[in-house]
Amino acid sequence: MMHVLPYLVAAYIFLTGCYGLATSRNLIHAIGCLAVCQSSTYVLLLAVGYQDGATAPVFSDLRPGSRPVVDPVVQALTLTDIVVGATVTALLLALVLQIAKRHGTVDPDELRELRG
Amino acid sequence: MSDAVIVVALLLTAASATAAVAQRDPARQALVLSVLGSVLAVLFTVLQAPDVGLSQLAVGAALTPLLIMLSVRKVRRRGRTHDAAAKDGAR
Amino acid sequence: MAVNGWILAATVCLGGGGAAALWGVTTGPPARRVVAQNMTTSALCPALLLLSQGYGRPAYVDLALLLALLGPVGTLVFARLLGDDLEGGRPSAWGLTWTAAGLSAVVVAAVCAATGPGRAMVKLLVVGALLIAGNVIASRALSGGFRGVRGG
Repeated sequence: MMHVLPYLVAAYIFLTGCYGLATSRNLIHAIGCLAVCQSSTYVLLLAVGYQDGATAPVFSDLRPGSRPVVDPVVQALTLTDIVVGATVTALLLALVLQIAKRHGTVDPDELRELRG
Repeated sequence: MSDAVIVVALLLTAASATAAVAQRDPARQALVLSVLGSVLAVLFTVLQAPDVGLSQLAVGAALTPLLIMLSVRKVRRRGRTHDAAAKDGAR
Repeated sequence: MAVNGWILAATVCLGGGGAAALWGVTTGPPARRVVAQNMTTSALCPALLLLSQGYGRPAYVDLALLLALLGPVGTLVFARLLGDDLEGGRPSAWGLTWTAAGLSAVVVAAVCAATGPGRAMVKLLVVGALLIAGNVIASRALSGGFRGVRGG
């Protein structure tokens, strides 16, 4: 059970974020739900690299080779993911401001430009 | 013993994520996102990734809620000036 | 693996403090929600200090340092930008503030005692001072103490 729990939690968080995105009535709330989806990927990546009884791959206070360490590659991926997530959030919020300026609403159901 | 702290951190993250999605008002959601960011940083510490936790704290605890609050204010202010202009036009 | 007292204390701090903060942030008037967000940093920072002691990695104290710095910054952001919503009832939770300050002091003292004198202890004392000062400043700002923050 312990081996599977992080992946279950990551899947749950992702599905919750998707539900919020799909049923949102406010674009800014939808961006918050997208942030929740992105945090599920951080949990998944770190769970992949985790090892029981190992410690962080930080050698400022540890002699290299004295203790087993968790995988540092997935930590680098997660760091990149976090920064990219923040940038995407900022860009999407700028787009929402433009939509509010142009259409006067942030309710996705009232935006009709893409209707057939 | 360290298993228990991982389970507690994971469950707390799941609860925070559910709360963040359940808050429909963006201003209140920004508050929950700030809490979610801090809880995620603690989860990363427990999963032995403190440098990732440092980035997450910087981004999630102060930056993302600040951006969302600024956007909410901008959209609200636009809505208020719009209504004021419409009222003036109707008069 | 033998029962590690530090990690157990961190689990209790995290579970109790985190659950209370989450409940406060999701229910009730905006005044209570902002106070709960403020309490999150003073509930999670001691947990981080206890974890750094439990895992035997002094490097983890950097996280507690950053949280003690950025937590009050986040609360001040909300105090400034949620000013209109909070006009109804200025939140003042001084009992909670001093309880949290007391908890921080106890945890910092315990970890300092376990670390022993040296540069590491100075860092821990700095973290404790920042935590308590930040908590008090943020609470003061929330209860309307700073005209500058309110945009007056």
